[in-house]
Amino acid sequence: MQKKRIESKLLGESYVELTHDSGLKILVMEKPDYTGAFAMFGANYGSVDTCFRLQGAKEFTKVPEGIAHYLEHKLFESEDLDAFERFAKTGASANAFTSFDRTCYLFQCSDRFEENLEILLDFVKSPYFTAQTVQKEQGIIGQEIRMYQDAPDWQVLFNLLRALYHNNPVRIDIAGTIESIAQITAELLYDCYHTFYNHSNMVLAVAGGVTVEQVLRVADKVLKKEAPVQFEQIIPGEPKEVRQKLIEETLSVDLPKFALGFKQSHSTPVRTAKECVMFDIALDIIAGKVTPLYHELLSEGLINTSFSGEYFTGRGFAVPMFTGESADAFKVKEAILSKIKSLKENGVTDEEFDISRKRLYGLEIRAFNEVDDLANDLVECSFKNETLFDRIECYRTLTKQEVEAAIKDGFDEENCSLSLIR
Amino acid sequence: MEILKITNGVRLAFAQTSQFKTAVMSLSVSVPLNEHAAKNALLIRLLARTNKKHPSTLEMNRALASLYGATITPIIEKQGETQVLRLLLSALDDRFTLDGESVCEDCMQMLFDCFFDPDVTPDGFKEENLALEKRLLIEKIDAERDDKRIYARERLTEEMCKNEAYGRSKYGTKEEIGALDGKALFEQWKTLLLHAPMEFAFVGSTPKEQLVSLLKKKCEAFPKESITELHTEFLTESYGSKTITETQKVKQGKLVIGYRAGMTYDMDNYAAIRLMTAIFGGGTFSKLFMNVREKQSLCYYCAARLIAAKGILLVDSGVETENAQRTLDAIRAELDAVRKGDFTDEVIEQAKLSICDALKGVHDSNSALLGWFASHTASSKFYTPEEIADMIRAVSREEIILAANMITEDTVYILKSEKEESADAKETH
Repeated sequence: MQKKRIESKLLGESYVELTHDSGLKILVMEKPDYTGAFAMFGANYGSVDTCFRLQGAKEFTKVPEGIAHYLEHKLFESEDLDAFERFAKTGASANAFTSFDRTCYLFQCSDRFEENLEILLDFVKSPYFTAQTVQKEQGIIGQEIRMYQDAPDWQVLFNLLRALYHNNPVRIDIAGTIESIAQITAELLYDCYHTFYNHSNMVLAVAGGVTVEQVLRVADKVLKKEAPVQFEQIIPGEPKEVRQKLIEETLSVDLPKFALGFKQSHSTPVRTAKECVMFDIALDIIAGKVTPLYHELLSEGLINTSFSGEYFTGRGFAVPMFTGESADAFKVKEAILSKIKSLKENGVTDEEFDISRKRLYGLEIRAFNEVDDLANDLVECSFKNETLFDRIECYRTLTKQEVEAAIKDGFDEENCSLSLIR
Repeated sequence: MEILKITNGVRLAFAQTSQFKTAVMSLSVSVPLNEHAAKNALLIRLLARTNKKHPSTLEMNRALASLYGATITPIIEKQGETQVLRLLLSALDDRFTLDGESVCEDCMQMLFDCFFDPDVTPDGFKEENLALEKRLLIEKIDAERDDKRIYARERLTEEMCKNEAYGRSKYGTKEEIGALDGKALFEQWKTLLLHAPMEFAFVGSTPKEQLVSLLKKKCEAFPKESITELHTEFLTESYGSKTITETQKVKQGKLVIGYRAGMTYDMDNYAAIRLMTAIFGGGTFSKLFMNVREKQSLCYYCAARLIAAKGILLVDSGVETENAQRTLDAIRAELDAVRKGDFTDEVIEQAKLSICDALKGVHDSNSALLGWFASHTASSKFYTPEEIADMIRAVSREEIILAANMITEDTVYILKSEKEESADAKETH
């Protein structure tokens, strides 16, 4: 078992990273002054993983949209007691989520940690799907899909991705559609499970008032050694150009919403901590709360305080974007593009850089307060092969010139899309 | 956790800890929820936006940014028939600044400046700031209504409590907001200073003495005259259930049911009703989750929530319009089952464990700690999470059944989807 401790002197924090004999990577952040703990068991598998084959298999399997999320729901069931019933006996609060590129199962508890961890590891490693249980979930997930179809904040984002990308599977809804989930079978769920839920494609992260020994005790008991599974995926080619410059949808809303995103092309699928911090600062310098532009838009009645910037990234996609509510999003777009143009021409001032860096650094530190954020970030960093402290360190070392370069390269005015909900 | 009375009408609620990397604090005033709701809501939002030292939002945001991204957020809450107005501030703990500078005290000062030293002229708040804030508040109301789950719950409350103060929006109406002027807001600010009960809540590493002395100084500068009494009307039972139905162009219908919980004040039989709510619809072990969602596959969410400060209980769900009646029947059947005692001792134990585990977890989060103080702002008595947990553990099966039988259905709200040409209809051809 390989084991190393990763530390941040600045924060006075550290965690242990180890590869368990079963082949699973485990990360534990001991926080002795916390009562409770949070555990997250994640697979590097999400809605974008739509076409794959195991090494040696003849054919690629193309799966129905939304299957990763469907699998997440179904994993809670077993032949005997389902996972929720087991957690009910301990009082822990358990849940799961599926994103574009990962699926995570989690619990938070104040007591009986080892018992809870045993349930978590055991249920995720014990798939049980039958035609009947698969069928039953269609009504439930169907309503989840409907709920999101009415949610303007989600739709404005999903539509933006559909406008930016021609082929990238990030343009598919995470939960799929009522029609696509009707094609999901127990057999397909097992195919996905056996490809992506191998220890070599998963990670366990724990943060809170527990010890590495406690975690290992449970891992030793529950996890069996697994030979790594190799798989291949078909990643469709993606042109540099956006698919549509404008995408609009009408929903029952009083307040129109918009999202403005810039298409980026990268030769590697995952954005580094440094790139992420660089673009976060760039977005803040362009139209963050401390910029004159933000205040002009605010006083002209073009945006409200819901306006914000985000570097939206995951495995295979990266979009710096601005979202907000506006009666005239075209004007907002125009103002942002002209600010970008001016920054490209004139550069960033020291003051602009310093104030954004300080503000975002202060906000970043907050993620170290709560065990749920910590466990979640540990999983995310692990899938990116980074440490939890890389981002914080970037705030100390990043230069203004690097941010200027990011603005020059990462915001292509010709390849941006505007998504509107009204 | 500790609550201290500083002077008449002013208290300090604090938890001293160095467990977290940020300090969180809030300054709140409580007022009756009445025809001044819009005025109060707009006022607290104006106070959060600027102050005398930083008279524009740009200057204010820059000052906050240089304090390592400190944030001041205005929060407007309805606690029973009390409107709580709060300024919430979150700041980096001094131990983690990049150059070793101190920010926490400056942040505290900033919070007090916003509340006690607003940017006003003798004519009141400036027209320009006022116009902006009116638009922002009206847009906030619109944005919340655009979230159909929130909208459906709001409509239910509005209809159910039509003849009670609780039926009012915590923001007032858009028309009321539109009609306000800077002078009236200034007068209201003075009234709040003189009469509204106030609380300063703090979670962080600053010593108690420092907090007390700071607060005392402010109290001396702004002495209270008389303290406004806060009161909430509790209707212990419904006089027959009514149904309100609306139609909108939505994909998913919504169903909300409002009940009177049989309470006469916020802690009346609280533990038994809270447990009853949990067994009925408060977790994955609950009847609504296990039966309405898991067995009948009618919905993705279907949950019950107790609003103790008003003695009401809400169940809400998102459903296909054609299944709304079936879901309503299913929810009623589950409540009847609880009333008849059709649940195991094991499920009582599970509900107790779940609530107590969550209560213990309050100490692991500074926002949860501050939220715990916040949830007590308008109540006369303060309980620690441990005290509540003890009450929960002591509840018997009989008390749960009794509590369920005190519950009466008051109002049903259904939002139907008006489908242009629904995909489902097409499939049947």
